[in-house]
Amino acid sequence: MRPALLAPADSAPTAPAPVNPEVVEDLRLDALVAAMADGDDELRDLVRATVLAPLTDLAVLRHRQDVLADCLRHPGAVRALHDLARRAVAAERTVLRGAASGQAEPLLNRSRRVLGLFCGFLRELGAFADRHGRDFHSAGLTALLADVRTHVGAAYLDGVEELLRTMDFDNGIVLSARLGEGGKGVDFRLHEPPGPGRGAVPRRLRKSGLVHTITGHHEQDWRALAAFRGRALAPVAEAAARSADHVLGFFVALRDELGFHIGCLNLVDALAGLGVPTCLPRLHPAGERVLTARDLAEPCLALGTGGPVVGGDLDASGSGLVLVTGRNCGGKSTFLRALGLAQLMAQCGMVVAARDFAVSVATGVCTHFTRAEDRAMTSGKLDEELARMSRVVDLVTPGALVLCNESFAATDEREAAAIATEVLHAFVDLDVRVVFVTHLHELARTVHDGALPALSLTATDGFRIVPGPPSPTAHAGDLHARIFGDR
Amino acid sequence: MGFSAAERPDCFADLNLDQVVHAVAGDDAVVAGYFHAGVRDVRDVEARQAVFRDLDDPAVAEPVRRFTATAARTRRRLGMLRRMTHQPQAGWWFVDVVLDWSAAVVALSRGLDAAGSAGLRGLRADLAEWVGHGEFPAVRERAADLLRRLGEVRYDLLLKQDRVTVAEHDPTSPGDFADRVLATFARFRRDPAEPPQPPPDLGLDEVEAAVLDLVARLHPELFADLAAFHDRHRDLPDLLPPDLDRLDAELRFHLAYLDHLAPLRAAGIPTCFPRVSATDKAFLARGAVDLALAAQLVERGQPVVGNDLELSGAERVLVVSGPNQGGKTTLSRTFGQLYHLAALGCPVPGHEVRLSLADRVFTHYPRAESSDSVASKLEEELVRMRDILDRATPRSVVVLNEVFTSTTGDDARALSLTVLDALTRLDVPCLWVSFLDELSRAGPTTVSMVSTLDDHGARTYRVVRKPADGYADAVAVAEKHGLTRARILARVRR
Repeated sequence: MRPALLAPADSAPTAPAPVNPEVVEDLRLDALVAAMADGDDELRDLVRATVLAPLTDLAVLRHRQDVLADCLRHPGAVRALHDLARRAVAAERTVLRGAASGQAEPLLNRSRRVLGLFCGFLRELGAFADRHGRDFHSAGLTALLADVRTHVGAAYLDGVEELLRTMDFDNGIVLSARLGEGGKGVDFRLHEPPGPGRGAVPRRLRKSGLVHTITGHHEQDWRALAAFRGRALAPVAEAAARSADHVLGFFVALRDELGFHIGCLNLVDALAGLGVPTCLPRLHPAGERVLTARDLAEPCLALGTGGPVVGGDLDASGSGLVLVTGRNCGGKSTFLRALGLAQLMAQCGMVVAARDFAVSVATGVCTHFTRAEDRAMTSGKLDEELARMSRVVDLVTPGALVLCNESFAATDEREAAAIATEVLHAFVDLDVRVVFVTHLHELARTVHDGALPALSLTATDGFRIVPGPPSPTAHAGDLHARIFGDR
Repeated sequence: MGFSAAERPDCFADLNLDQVVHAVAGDDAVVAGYFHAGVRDVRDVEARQAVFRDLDDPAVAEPVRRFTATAARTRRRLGMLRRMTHQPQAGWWFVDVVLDWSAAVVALSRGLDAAGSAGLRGLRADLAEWVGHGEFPAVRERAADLLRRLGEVRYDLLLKQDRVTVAEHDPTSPGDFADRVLATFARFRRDPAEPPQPPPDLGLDEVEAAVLDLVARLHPELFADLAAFHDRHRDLPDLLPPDLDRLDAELRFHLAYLDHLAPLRAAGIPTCFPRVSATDKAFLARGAVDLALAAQLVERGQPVVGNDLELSGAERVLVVSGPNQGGKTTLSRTFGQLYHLAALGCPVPGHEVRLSLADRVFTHYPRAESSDSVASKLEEELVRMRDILDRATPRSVVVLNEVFTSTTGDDARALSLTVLDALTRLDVPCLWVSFLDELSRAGPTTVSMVSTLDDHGARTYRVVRKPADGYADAVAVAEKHGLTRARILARVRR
């Protein structure tokens, strides 16, 4: 019995699509993660790991989207279930492990207590399943609740509690052994614990004259007896501890898998409060080159400013290379981030910040942004940029998405264009999708004129990115004039 | 003059051979001793090489390894058994020692079929005769029978309050309560992998020993047989082959050295058997590395640079100059190590090595702790140099590293030419690290080698016959990062 709320139960785990570490900073993922965690530290780590491990398997992603759709329909019930799992995990922690480590009898006692506590939570889970069994439609949630009702019903839990009671060994321990190395007793096999009263202990043991009695003359005699009892009970203590860990593992998995969906609920709530629409994206196989959006927004900008943001429409389906030019402060970086976030979120089975979004899954997502610290350095900037691009090349495979923001700005335009031409040609040859925001006007011009198949977009007034040829005007000169010239 | 047996040669510290020996032999003084004494003629070198070749074959090495390991273990365990007072335990362990040891001897006698060397083939014949006859097989048989009977013993226990009760085992009781607990919670299991069990603690405490005594009373005949067997064969007189200690030590030396080479070989460093000549003083080493440094680099996962060296015809002296930190001292150590290790019959790192059998390797390296007065430093250097020239024979090898650096250039030049003259008259192979590049032009016996830097001024640790220079090409930065179209296409996995 295991929850399958992130992937179908029978799906083999696959390696996530690679993501370069700079994505976190370039796309300001921490803002997104913080909104999803909503102050819960454990949830933050979990959500962060999930967002940085995008998937490519459409069956898994659709399974996850279905569960999320269920959660969006019944947020209250799902939050209650998450809370139940969280309380079960927390309750286990209140029974200290430290004292029980390494010794069988304390370990056995601890495990019996923990399993007793879990029985209570499992009964609660059963009641939840009875109440909400028909509310959900996704394969993940319906299977979970059906499993609970089938496998941890009241009769089963009654049996478990009876078993836990017999494990006190108040009437002695009966076991079989054989001789191991050096004549040491090994392979201890515990028999059913004897009940109270005569006859519970087998006759051959009751009548045997081969008895060793601890005299108690030496402290170490008692210690040796305790150690021997410990070895005798070790298999059952081990079994009980492992069982407690299995049940704990179930609750942890339930908490964590639901946690991801709770994070999505938190995000939807936060963005709705800011007037940013969200939707479940339509996913297409890798290589189909689908990319269309309606009212695509940059959620982290909205979360950061605490207000609504301008969304944009886009149809870049069929294009392997998208070149974005245009005026500074025209929203190019925001556009690039919106696109990168939507791609990552879509490939985690999340909602995206758009009214409608359709995209092919990418076999990898990498960013290559001009970095603030680059500009502060006086030497080695180009080296650093190229080394970063080289690491991107190490990660990508055909079908990956690379988002470039003013790449190669560390050198002069001619050299930058020469390097960019090499890199872009290679990516096009390899069927790696590239969105390239650039000030390299000559490069953009030659690409637009047919040197490479590309969709040219340009930033306009009003922070809109629209199809259009690269324009040599309204660049840095504009900005310079606006900031310094008007004084 | 030969290597003086067991005493550590003077050159060991300079050549870092002390590090190598420590890494190979650890605390085993007997094995370390083998590194101090070279052999006297080429036939002995070849005989050792043949044994090394045999032991490079896993089919031969495996039983030999097991034999040396078991010999050490058996010595230790017999010592411990003499101090053990609880008879049932001591008897059990004694049977175990007998079986462990005799199995290793039998395995060795049978495992040398693939050996080609005279040494190991002779050993095989002797052992085969010895393990097949007399007491050896009979004792082994009795021990195996006792162990089998002990292994069949089963008993049941009751632990209640302060009593431990032992009784006959009831084969009908399942004894699977722990499994029942696991089965009850199996439905929550995710990962079928079970945690690893801790290794058992083999000592018996008071209760365990008491239980064993009760079990012995349950099976009196078996335990009487066990005690009788132990008494009769106490120190294994019938199981120890003659001349065991010398045989064991020699095999340990060979195996320990091969074990030291193993990680280097795994890292792609080739090894070879040097071709050793008693008369021809030509020297050739291809892909040679400093064994001490290579071991460190491999451990740290860093690349190891091999070098080619050659002295042919009348050439006797390799004069090494060039930038500092470029591998000059390392090359000098490599040269000295090759002669010493080859004279031990050892395989060495490198594609190919040919050299003469050296009676002794003399080294002259800077002394860090020597006197700080310039005059006495030079004097100390000269005394050491005279000592070398006095003791060296035409079969010796000399390694000089930065001598006479404490005096003026003119003095150093004059002194060095005198030494070179003496070395030429001795006709010994020599490697000389020196900043005086004119030494390399002093005559037909000298050859120049230069340490090199790469195009960006970085060290390469490559030392070659010609100087090489280059310059950084600013235009190729992208190329350097592998970011041209062609390089990217080649790099990306499709």
